[in-house]
Parts: sequence; C-alpha cells; structure tokens
Amino acid sequence: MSLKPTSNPSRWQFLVLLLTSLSALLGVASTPVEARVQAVLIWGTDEAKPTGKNLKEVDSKLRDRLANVFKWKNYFEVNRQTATLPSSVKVQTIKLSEECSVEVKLLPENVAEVKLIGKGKAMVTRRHSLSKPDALVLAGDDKNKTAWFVVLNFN
Amino acid sequence: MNTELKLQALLDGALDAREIREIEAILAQDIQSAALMQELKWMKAAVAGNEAEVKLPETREFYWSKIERGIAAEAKQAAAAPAERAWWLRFIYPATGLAAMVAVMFVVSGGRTTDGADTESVPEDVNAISFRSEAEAMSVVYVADENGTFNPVGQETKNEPEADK
Repeated sequence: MSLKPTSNPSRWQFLVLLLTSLSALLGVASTPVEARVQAVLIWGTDEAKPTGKNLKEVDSKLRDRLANVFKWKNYFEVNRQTATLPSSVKVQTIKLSEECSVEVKLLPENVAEVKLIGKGKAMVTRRHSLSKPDALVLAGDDKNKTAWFVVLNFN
Repeated sequence: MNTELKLQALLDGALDAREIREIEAILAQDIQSAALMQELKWMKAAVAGNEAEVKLPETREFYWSKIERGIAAEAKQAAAAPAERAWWLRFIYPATGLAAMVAVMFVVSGGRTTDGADTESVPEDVNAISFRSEAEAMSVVYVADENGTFNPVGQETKNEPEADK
C-alpha cells in the first residue's frame, strides 16, 4: 500500500485555522486585562453612629450582604477609593487610612493579587480570581467588639 | 427419467441412439404416450411459428449504447456518494481528535477559570481564615492580629474614649 499526497489541502487548512483560533482564544484568556477596582474601608459595630462624626452608613445592598455574613448590626463607610489597573502598571497602591492601604497587582490568567498593608507591614496577601463576580472582603477584629472591613470590587 | 420427460427430450433432440430406440418402442406400444408426443410436436410448431417479433425503434447499436450510458451513469453516481461522505469524515475525525486533545490540555492545566487561584498568605504572627459566601458572592479573608495593633479605622473616626485605646 502506497501513501500518496492528498490533492485536497482543505483538511490541513482547516486544522491550521482551528489551531490558530484556539491559540488566539487561549492567548486572550491568559492576557491580563485592565481592571477597575473599588476599595471601601468599613467599620462594623453594634453601636449607633458616633455623634459628631462624619460617617455614613454603607448602601443598603452592601449592608445586607455584610449583615448576612457577619454579626454586626451597623456598617459605616470610612473611606472609598477607586483605581484603574492598567496591565502596564505593576502595582497600584490604594490608601484607605493612615494605617491601612492595599496594593493591587494584576497577574496572568485573570487573577489579581491584593496585599493588605497595615502600618507598612503586609498583613495578608490574597490572590483573587477575577473570572468570578465575587467581592473580596478583607476583615478583622477591631477594639470594643467592633470590626473593620476592606471590600474590594473588581470590574 | 419418466416417460413425459423422455418425450420432451426426444423432441428437443437431447437423447442418444439407444434412448431414442427405447422411447420409440414405448410410443409404438403406448397410445397415451403417442398422443402426448403428438401434442408436444404441435405445441413446438405453434410456438416456433407464432413467436412475436419485437422491432427496436432505433438501431441496435444506438439501443445498446443507451444501456451502456445508463450503466455508466449509475456507476458514477454510486462512486460519488462515498466520496462526499469521505469529505465530511476528513473534517470530523481531525476535529474530534483536536477537541479531545484540547479537553485533555484543559483538564491537565487545571482549566482557565482560575477558580483555584484564590489563595492567601499571611505572616507568622497573623492568623487568617478564609471562606466564601455563595449567596452573597463574597470571598472573605478574616484576619486575627495577635498583637492587636492593627486598627485601620482610626480612633478619631470611632469616637472612642481614650481609655479604650
């Protein structure tokens, strides 16, 4: 039995086209995209709003989401910052208070690395998939049975 | 061979000399056989003399050439059908193989969903627990600072008395 070259090259053209398309799709999927991040520093407490303080309650939607997960009754917004993360910028730092800031870095495969900085020290480093619509909440205990929250939303 | 068949064979000239003598002896003695032989002779003569003559409307060569063209057309059609099927198979088999290869690569690489990317690291003096609330679409990392020195919400914001600091 002898092998003879096919006179119809369409099969190979089809394969090449398919491989090229797949490579392009995979390449696009792994390329870091520009992302917009909103960081909100929130104070959670069971007490009423402190008098004379310029605190505002978080919007009802976010308040309900937090209250469904955490035990505190009231959630006050301390600071809100929004930043754009172009893929060309390596690390974006968002300052939320004197003691607290977050560093956000885009990684390949649609992942963001978030570093919570407290008093100049990395408290926690979290890799967060941007393929999900999840908000990333970094939180911890504060004094007098209160808590702090850093809510990060990517889009 | 019975007598009827021998009579028919005699009429067709299919018997040898010995058999002819035998059947002629039977015909000389058996009146029924002789009558049957006579009927068969009449029948043969009638068929041979009255066979319908079929005349072709065209020449013999043209008639057979039509049949030849018909056979060739059918053969060509039969050959064309498998060729079309093979055209699809040429695409289906490589595409199926490629899809299987991509699926294997996807599984081996852990997929592109990056759902497994959610990890955290903390310093030694910091404890953290992480969980995800499906209902609230929220990934949470709860940090417990053993030293208790991290207070991102300033005291001036909380309006706490100095003694609580």
